[in-house]
Order: sequence, then structure tokens, then C-alpha cells
Amino acid sequence: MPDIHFEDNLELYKDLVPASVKPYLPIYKDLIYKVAEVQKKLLGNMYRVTDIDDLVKKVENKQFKVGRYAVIEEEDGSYKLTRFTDFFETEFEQIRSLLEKIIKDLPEGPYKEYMESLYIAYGNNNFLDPYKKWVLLKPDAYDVELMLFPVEVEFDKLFNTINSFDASLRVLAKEFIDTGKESYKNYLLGIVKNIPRFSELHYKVAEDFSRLNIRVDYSIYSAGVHCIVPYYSQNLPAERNFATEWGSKIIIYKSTIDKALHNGFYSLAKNILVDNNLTREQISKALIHKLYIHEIVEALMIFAGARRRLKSQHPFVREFNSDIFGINTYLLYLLKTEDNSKKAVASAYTYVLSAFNYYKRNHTPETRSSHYKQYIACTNYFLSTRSLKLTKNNKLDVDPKAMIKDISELSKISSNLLMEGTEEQAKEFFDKYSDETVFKKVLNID
Amino acid sequence: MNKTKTTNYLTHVRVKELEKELEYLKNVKHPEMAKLIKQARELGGLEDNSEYDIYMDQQGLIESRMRDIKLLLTTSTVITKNNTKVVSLGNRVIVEVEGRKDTFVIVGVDEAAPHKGKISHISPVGKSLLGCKVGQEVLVETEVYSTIYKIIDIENA
Repeated sequence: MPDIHFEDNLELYKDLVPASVKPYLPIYKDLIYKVAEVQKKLLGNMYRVTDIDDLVKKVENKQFKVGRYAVIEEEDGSYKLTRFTDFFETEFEQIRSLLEKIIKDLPEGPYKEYMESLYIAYGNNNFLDPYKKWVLLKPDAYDVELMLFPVEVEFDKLFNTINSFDASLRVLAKEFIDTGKESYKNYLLGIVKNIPRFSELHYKVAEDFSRLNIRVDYSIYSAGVHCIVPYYSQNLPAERNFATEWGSKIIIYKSTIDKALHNGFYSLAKNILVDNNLTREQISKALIHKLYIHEIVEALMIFAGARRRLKSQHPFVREFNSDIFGINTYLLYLLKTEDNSKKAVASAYTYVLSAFNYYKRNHTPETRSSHYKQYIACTNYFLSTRSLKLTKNNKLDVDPKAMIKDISELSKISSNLLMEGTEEQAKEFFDKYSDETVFKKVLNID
Repeated sequence: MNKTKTTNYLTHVRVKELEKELEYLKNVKHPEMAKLIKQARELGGLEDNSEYDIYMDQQGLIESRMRDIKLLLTTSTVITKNNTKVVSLGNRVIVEVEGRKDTFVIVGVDEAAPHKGKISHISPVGKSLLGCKVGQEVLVETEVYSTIYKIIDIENA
């Protein structure tokens, strides 16, 4: 059974929590923990069947339809869907009771409407309504934002998507948004403009930028059972038709970034790179830019049929493209501005640092998410072209100019795979560059 | 406001925008603020008069912006004609770069807004494309990045 990752940052950010919310923090905390328990139970029990191959066959042959918010159980030799509201009857009742305590004192407005729709969903199983309301909830809707519903997470190997519950309570990093608000928005618009328009959502975003609902947050509480909690960033919804209709919501978790920098991301740079003159602030900014662009590219480049073509490799290709095509988009954007070279170099270094930081945290297979293949593959690609060299004392020597050229080449590979590649082609690419030796040597892992 | 000594260029459209903004600041905002300052002064002394301080600050910002606009209008070169045979300031350029199509107008430093498709003539792309013809493949190079831009079309902006 997976463990629950519960992150409690209240001590760090308690001054940012408005007085109106403070009395309700214990309820929010209980709610989030309760939902994490639901997720834990769900991950082990999504398919309660004796012959999983038979189930897959029946689903593929359209003899049995998988439900969005339901688990699959066996009854008298056939399959049946059990709604979450039935499967988690006791837990959902507790969640409703906690929600009720918060809702009764909330001021009228979009946040209260969203919370009320959550309360209803935990009773009638219609989670699409609060999900939509959450996507459309703007950063200024209320003092905090709660996330507490099932979303599409792509780790499921059986049917490609399942509904995994996500839970967090966050406050807006106001200082980040308020400082140069206009230039921040213009920068994001510049990035959007530099991505070729492939999707309907992108055309809509070009007309109305607010369809990309972007916020930078400090997480007070968050919980989940998969390995990437706490998140660095997220974009939802993942399904093309929902994103096209509702727009896309992007959250950058400044709390996770700050924590990573504090816990060794920056010192990793000092330890593993031969030459690195970047300041902590430059790396922090480059990391935030990387996350912004990653999520924007991921939100805007959802292709019809990509999941079907790429099958098991789809999550890996998607993350690969979001990072690499995203960085290349940023680099092309920088060519149109006057202050660019240092930012471009910081981008290249930050990618390498992210790869090694990821491997350091997730070097055992069971902790890996869909990000790991691209980090290993791109690092090996850089080594093969010698834009990245391993020195005799196991340090990394980066040639930023050559690496930036590689990123341009890799972005062609990633976008081609995402747009028209097959599972075999993607697998071939990742297998070709799957050697983990350099990570083990540099990070001194056996 | 660009503080460098690089010659600045303005399109006719931008000149009109700046003139309009200057008129508005001079004839509407500045007198309005002067009135508010007068009222605040009449309400009490100048010490611990926070309203007076706020209005004085705002008046300072208005005056500073007016000075900047006047300086821009008197020191910038106005782009008078657009040559579409080669890429020139004020042209809209359609390019292809790394398989992506892109369109932008090349403008002076103070008018540049990459998010609106207006890029500065001293940006790496702007600098490299100036003087080039349709069909030409142009190397755009910085200290760390080099890539080829193919010019598809040049239009009057």
C-alpha cells in the first residue's frame, strides 16, 4: 500500500494566512488528510476483479464501460461500477460534515459556490461540477484556495487515466504576482505567442488570455499518495475536451521551490558542476520560468489521439515535450528581447540541475513519476554530443552554447513524437538514452 | 523609459499615442491632481497630512511621465516610410524559425512589446533581420544561441 505524503507548512506561512481563515485551519487540515486516506484506499482498490486481463479485454471490446468516478467490482461473474459515493460512503459523509462547518461562515461569492458544489458532489458523485468551478476560480476569489476532488492523473497503466484525488490548501504568493504585475503577464503572453498554435485551446487563449488561469502559491497543507506530492507545478484539466471548454488552470507551488532551494537544489549546483557562476536568485527564477513554461506548453499542446498512439509512453513523451519544447520556446522568446544570454544559460543549467535533483530524490524505480525518462534521456543525449561532459572527478562540465543547440534539436524530437510518434518510436528513443551511470557516478549512488 | 544612448525610433502610431497621452496628462490629470493638493492643503497643515503626501507623490509621477514623453518625442527619430524590399524599422515581418511561423513588427526600443508582436530593432532577432530580403535565411546569433530565421514576407505595418 502506498504511503500518504502529508505536507504541513503552516509554521512557515502562518503569517500569510488571513485572520478570517485561521479558525478554520484545523478543519481544512482534517479534510485534506481525509481525502488522502480516500486516495490511498482507491489506489489499491480501483479494480476489484479476479481476472484483470478479462476486464481489459472487455473494456477494449467495448463490452464494459469504465466509469469516471467509480471503482469496478465483480458480482455474479460480471463486472459492475460502484460509485465513489457508495464505495466511500463513510469517508464522504465525514468530508461533507467538515465542509459544512467551513461553508456556513463563508461570504457569498465564487469561492462559496465552489465549496457548496464540492459538498454536493461528495453526496451525488458529480465531481465535474466542482472541478469546473475550481478551474474557473480566479486567484482573487478568496483568501485561500482548497483543492479537494478527483482529477485525471496519468499513472494508471491499465486504462491510461484514473481519477486520483488531489488535496491542498494554498495561499497566493501575492508578492510574486504584485511585483511588476503587468510585466509578469506580458512575459507569459510572450511565451504563449511563441508556441505554435496546435490546439483549439491555444486559439482561444490567444483571444482571451484569462483562459489560462495562472497562480503562484504557497501550500499550507497538501496530501497525496503518489510520489510527486508535493508538486512543483500543475496544470489541469488534462483532458483535451475539458481544457478546450473551460480553459486551463496552472499552479506554481512557490513553497515547493523554496523548499527545494533550501534543501539542496542550489548546493547541488555547487557540488556537481565544474563551473557555475549563477546566483541562487538566478537559479530560483530560472526554475520558476521552467515550471511556468512547462505547464503552459503541457496545457496548450494536448493532441487528439496522442494517448492512443503513444500508449504506455504517452506520459513520458508529454513530460519530455513540456520541458524541452518549453525551454526552446523560452529561448526563442529571449531572442526577441534585449536582455537574454544570462537567462538562456540559466535555463540550460537549471534543466541539468533539475535532472540530477530528480534522480537524487527518485533513484529507486518505485518513486519515479513520468518525468524520469526525459531527464535520463536528455542527459545522455547531452553527453553523446559532448555539450555535457563528465570529468575525471565525477563532476559535470556544461557547455551552455552547445547544450542550447541540443535543446533545439531535442525539441524537434519531442514535438514530433507527441504529434505523430508511435509507442515503439518513443520507446526506442528512451531506450537508446537510458543509461543511468552518469547519475550514479555524479551523485555517488551505488 | 530607455536610458541608453541608442537612437530610438518611433512609428507614427506610437507618436500619436504619446501625444495623446501627453495632452491627457497635461490638460486633465495634472490640473485634477493640483486641485486635490490644494484641497488637502486647505484641510489642515502640511505635517502629518497623509492625503497631501499621497497627492504630491502622484503629481510627481505625472510630471515625471510628462518629462519622459516630451524627451522621447523630441529625441526620437520618426519612421517616415516603410521599405518592403528589405526588412526595415516599422515593417511587419513573417518568418519561419525551427519549423514555427512567426510574425512581428520591428520597432524602436521604447515601443518594443514582444507579447504584442513588437520587437526592438536592437534585440538579436531585430538586429539580424534588418536589411535582409524575402527568401533570405538569416543567422540570428547571441553569445549562447544561434538559429536560422527564414524571411517569408515583409509588409508595411
